[in-house]
Amino acid sequence: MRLFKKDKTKSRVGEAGEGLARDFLVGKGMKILAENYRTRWGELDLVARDGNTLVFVEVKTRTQKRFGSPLEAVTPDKQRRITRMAQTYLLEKGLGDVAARFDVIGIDLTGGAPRIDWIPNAFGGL
Amino acid sequence: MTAASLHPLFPTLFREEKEAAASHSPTFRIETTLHASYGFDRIAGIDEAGRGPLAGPVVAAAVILPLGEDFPGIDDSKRLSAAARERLFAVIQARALGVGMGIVGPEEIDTLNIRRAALLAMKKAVQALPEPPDFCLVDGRDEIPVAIPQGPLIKGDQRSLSIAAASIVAKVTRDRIMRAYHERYPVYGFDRNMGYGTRQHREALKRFGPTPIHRRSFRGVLQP
Repeated sequence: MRLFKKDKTKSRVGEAGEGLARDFLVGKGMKILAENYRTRWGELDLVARDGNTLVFVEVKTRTQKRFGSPLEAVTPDKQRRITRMAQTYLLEKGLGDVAARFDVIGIDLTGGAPRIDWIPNAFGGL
Repeated sequence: MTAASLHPLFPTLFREEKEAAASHSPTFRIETTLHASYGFDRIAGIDEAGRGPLAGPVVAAAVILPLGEDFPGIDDSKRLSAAARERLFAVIQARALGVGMGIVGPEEIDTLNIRRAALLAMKKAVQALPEPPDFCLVDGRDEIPVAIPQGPLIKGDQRSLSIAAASIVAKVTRDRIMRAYHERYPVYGFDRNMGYGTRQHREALKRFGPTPIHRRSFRGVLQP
């Protein structure tokens, strides 16, 4: 039984970024419930629990100098897709009425030490 | 509710150990990883005793141990003497952060089938914990129907101290129950065979027939 299949196409950079994001969230006292959770709409990068709130996290890793916030990389269309994946997660876990929010984490690998940009409640609710 | 909360990371996370596992004593390694990398801090080990016997309940235990403390001697219940199990049972009861028991009797085993009965017992054990765990490490390959993140661990009783502790609590409790049943139904030798199908037990079944605590759906209980 393997519910979790690693996405072969996912880049190593992305994986490194998600690892950093995961450690960052654990450091904030959150519990990681799932990583690369697959749905038919795509993958949820991280699902965490912050107290009693379920948190769906999109991780954006950047290796090239660009301008703008990581949030800009999560287009409205991507936001809709993440929302749909979150609904799928809730359904599959049999979770009905839980508080949930969407966070975006930007990981900047262009400098020496990685810079982590955390945007809690980055976009609209379910 | 569909597939509960199997931790999606789990199968890949600990696969590499599977082969090496059998010869080693259980440790907190997996629990420590779950704590350090994923933030869980109330991790319950869950195991059950009594899938095989022809009589008596299936008994499950859920145990939350304080990680990092030393628990010398705790091992898979099948690798310990009865005396060692009794001693460690007392240690676990005294030092665990929480212990929960789940018992499913022979009638339910007959209606559900033993596999589902065992899963139900494990679910009850989790629900019987004084405070819910945030992660369940479950011996075997099945997931239990609770909405808590969980990971199945094949040969878990030989790999995880929490599961090994649960295996001891389940086994000791079940043996006590069977010894009590021996008082009521003395001819089957439940004090020694614990309901398992030894020759003496099968012969008693042949002569005296099944008791109410026999699993009638098991082969050899009702005579053909």
